Amino acid sequence: MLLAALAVGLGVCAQGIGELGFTSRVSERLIEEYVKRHGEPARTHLESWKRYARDLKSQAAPRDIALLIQVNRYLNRIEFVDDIKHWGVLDYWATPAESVASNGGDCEDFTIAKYFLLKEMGVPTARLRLTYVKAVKLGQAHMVLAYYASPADDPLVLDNLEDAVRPASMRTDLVPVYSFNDEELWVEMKGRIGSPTQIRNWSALLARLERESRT
Amino acid sequence: MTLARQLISAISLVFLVMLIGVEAIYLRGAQTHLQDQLESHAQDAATSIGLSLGILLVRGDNALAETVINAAFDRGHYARIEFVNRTGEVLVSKTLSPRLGENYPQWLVELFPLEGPTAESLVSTGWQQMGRVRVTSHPGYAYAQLWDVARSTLLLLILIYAVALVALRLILKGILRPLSAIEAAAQAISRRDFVTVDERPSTRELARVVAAMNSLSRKVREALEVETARAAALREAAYVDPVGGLLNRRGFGETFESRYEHEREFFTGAVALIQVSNLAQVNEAHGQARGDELVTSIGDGVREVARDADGLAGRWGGAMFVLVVPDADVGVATQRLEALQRRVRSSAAELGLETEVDISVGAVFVEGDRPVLEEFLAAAEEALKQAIELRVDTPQVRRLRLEAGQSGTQEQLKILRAAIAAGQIHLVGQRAFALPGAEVLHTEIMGRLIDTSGRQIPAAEFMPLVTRHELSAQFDRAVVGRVFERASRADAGATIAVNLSARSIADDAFGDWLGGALTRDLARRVRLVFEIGEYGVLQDEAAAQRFAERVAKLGARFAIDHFGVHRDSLALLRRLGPAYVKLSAVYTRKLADDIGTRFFVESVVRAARQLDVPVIAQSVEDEGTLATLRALGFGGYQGFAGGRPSPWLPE
Repeated sequence: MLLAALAVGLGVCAQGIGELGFTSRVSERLIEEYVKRHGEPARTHLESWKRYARDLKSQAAPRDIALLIQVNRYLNRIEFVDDIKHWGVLDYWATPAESVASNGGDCEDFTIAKYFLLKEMGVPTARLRLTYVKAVKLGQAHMVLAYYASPADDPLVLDNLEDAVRPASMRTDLVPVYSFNDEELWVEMKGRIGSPTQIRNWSALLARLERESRT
Repeated sequence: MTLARQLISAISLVFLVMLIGVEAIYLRGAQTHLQDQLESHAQDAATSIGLSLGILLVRGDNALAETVINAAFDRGHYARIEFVNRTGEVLVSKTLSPRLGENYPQWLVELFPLEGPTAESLVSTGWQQMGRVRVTSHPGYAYAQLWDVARSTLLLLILIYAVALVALRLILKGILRPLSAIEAAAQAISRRDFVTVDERPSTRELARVVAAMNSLSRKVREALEVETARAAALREAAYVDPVGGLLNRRGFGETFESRYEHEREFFTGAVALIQVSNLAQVNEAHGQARGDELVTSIGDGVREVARDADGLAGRWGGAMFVLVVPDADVGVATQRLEALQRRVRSSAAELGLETEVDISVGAVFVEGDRPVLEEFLAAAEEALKQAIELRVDTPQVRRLRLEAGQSGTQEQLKILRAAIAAGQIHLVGQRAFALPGAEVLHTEIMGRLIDTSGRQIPAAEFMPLVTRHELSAQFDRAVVGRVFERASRADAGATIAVNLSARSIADDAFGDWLGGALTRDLARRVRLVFEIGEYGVLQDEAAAQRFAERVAKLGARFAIDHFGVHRDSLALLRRLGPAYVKLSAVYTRKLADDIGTRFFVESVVRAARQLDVPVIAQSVEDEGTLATLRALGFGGYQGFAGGRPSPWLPE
């Protein structure tokens, strides 16, 4: 697993790290593949997602907060389905394309999709954190995307429980536990750049993104 | 190096390389595994420290951070743990000296390098980012583990290697066992002992080699046996009388010639003719068959006397036998003949023939005369006639007139002894040439005695005396000694042949002296061959064999002279393996005219060639003979055609 992640890391590096998970990397062939897997509606979803991203990008310098709200609202339209029901496996972190095509995902999938869309829109990844939280009201484990305008700030929370994007201090229904952003952390090894995260799911996700981008 | 050793060396080398390879691969794998572990180790530590710090650092207490980090640091194998705040400032740092421990060798570090990777984890309290923690693993512990693994696997591999080598040895030994049998057979065959290998090996190639060797060996042996049998048959046909198995006239003549005319040049002894004067009557009265019986029993008697006296017997004609009693004085010779006559008479009586058998014996006693058989027989015949006329029961013995000019025997002996003692030896050499090709095979050296007045004593005079008075060993020693002295002036690498008498061969003292005189330098400088007459070899083959072995150790060889006369000649070749043989001169003369001789000689030469023994012809005098010799496959020739004996390396 470690080595796979390393390989992915190298691959990512080779492609200029940046564009894994972007809508721009979704090729016609990939669409065909997902149509086969999820049916004809997948095409509609994927194509409108791509269009949305293109339109959003062309808007001149959106104010970050507005961008966040737009992205949150747009992706929250995806239906919430449990991994086990949707993918047949526990704890599957879908790629953005997979979530969009299948029009379903759980909290991690939402967070991931938002993360990559924001990144595509030019938001520096240093400001983003995938955060494990406990959703008090639901009494279950949850994940949200946290946006730090500056490192010391009270972050803004993008959550699939609500469309609004509010400061974390106001989200008393969430208790943060652990946050990570693996793109930020490079394990230093002589001559190698990689992200040998022990977060298994993240490296699996990266591997799948890598495969998608090659389709 | 033997095949087994070569194979074992090669295979164990391959094993060794393989084992080293296996060990290296294994260690590489261990290295990679340990490296991965170091990475995950760093990451795990970073993650858990990050989590702990996140929970504990609510109030941003650096001292607390330090405590947490200390605790983690002391419990694990880390090179460095750092806590960095939001702005990149290093707040806490713990470092372990990079000097790696001593429980593993430096070369391990160089061959299988491990690096201590650094991992990071974010530290956040609630939503607030606090910073990050960086953990760098220390490879020292990993090296220690690697070293342990290396040692244990190395020990195991060495054990496996040792076991493999032992197994290899045993297996190879089994497979190659037939080789030693094959090798022994090959060596025997090269010694002209045509053996076969009995056990058929299971390995295909070896089995084929054995089959081929056996087949070849058998073929050569059979061919040899055929040739030997043919030669024997030819000899019998030509030289042996069918009734009684004595030599016939021709056989006797040639043997006498070879043994006495060529080997000795001079003869002392009695030549007797024994005749049943009334055989015709006996045949008439009792039938041919009884007559033949009588002839046979007389023949046996004559043969026995010849054997006892070391002489020669033959059937000269219908009822006439010839007997040679050599080297005896007249009294002894006469006694033997008397005994013979008595015995013949009694055996005739035993046969129960009513007719009385008239046995007459006439003999001539020769003293130091040149042996010419016709002369002797003529004189013996006269004696016989007298015996028949006189009707006596005793043998009539005459003395042959001595040639004028010969001094008394005692005088001669004295001169002889003096000359030998003083080493007054004059050396002459005659060369033997190869056929075809005409290169010089060797030079035969003969010794001639010089008396006190400086006169060369003719061999005709002294040789029989030397023989009769047992001076052979001294004579040979004098000649050989002189040859050795001169040998230092011979061409390096030349082959020199020297004659030795049968008596010298059998004399241990002579052998010892030879061992001392024949120095290593000499043996290296010239190639020595000692020639011995066939008759002498046959008389004491064991001694000849011992002598041959002895000179072989000294770096010299031996050869047989006057070869081909006696019945066992060819067997001698096989048993003694001489460097070459010189065919009796008797045959050389008759080759051109006599077809029987030619066939016989041809088969002898062929048989000898089977055994790789070249046959050299003697007394070759003309070109015509050379052509015949070439055609028959002779290896060389010697004689006036190649040059007369001339002084050898005179001062």
